[in-house]
Amino acid sequence: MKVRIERAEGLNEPEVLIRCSRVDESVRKIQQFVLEQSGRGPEITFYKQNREYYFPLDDVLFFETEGEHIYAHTADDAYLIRYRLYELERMLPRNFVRAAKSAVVNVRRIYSITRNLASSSLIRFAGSHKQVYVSRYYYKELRQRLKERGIHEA
Amino acid sequence: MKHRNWFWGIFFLAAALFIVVGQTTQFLAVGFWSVAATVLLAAVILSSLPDGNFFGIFVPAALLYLIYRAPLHWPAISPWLLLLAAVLASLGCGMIFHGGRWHHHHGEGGWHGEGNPFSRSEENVEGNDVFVKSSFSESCKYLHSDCLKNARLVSSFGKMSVYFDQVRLSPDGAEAQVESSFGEMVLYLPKAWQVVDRVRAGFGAVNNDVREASPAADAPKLTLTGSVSFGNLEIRYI
Repeated sequence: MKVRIERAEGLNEPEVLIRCSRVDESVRKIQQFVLEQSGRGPEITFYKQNREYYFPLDDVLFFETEGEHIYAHTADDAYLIRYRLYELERMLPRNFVRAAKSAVVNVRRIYSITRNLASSSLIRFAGSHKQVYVSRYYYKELRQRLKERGIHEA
Repeated sequence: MKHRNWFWGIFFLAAALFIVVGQTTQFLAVGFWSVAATVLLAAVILSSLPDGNFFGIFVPAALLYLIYRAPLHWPAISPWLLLLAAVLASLGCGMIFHGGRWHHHHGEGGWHGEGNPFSRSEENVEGNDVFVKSSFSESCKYLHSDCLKNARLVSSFGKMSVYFDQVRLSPDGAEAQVESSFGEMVLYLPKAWQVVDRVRAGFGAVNNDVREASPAADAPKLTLTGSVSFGNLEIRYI
């Protein structure tokens, strides 16, 4: 595969063109990857005790509803979010996936999954004591996204 | 814990009397091990009575029935069925008599006038009077109170992890009441807190490795009360 980078004047945003004789799996993956890079992900403001925080979305291990509020959990802290969980699910990048009715997990930060055939499986995160359960209903989709993670990072 | 002294005093006196009477009269043909088991079971029942721990009452009572069934010519019931009945009876009584039982435990705080949070049946993880419940399932609960006074944590037949690391305690201290039966509960507490463990374990265990904790002298105080029966409570300091 040949990769060229061309500089062109007068473009508002970069344009990526894939030229190929036929569209196969690898081409689709390249397309998807490029699309994800261009969508920078939403700007989410994190709130805590009258303060607003701005940090990369990837610091978030998972989002979780607790009563009426939505919290974004980082490795050692938690912040309030002004979105509903289903809104987050729509606007977040693909590495965030529903794990339970009350949680959306960042698959890039998952360290281990303890499989439990009878009920929910337990997710642990690297460098944190926090845990989340993934219910059986959402487990398959989560596995799928975990596999994609491997492809992107390779 | 003041009542403990006279309780155990009376208990050991009664045990001594029981052994002597049991050995000298032919009223009961029971052996030494039955006597020892009786003493232990009676102790479990008596210590369970004050905090309304029904598992600690019915299950030992069922075992006592099994021991004395033959010598007293009581009707025969299969041991497993009897134990099942005891467990069911405890569950039932636990559900019915819950509201009224816990009141006399709590002397501190000025929240009595605001309605009793311990009689609530709905989950509530917000605010400073927290009630978390889980049964037949696994769950992780993250608390976010900024001035926690009371927490009631109930878990049965499941596993529940409760995280206190985002919690700030009330300056007067807080109380967390644990009720774990047939399940596992893990509490994640900040290292710096002063934790007072008053949880009673009947047929269960409380693992509290205080070596992990390093409480500061002026740290807020969290008192753990309640009971663990047929289950496990683990306290982890983070």
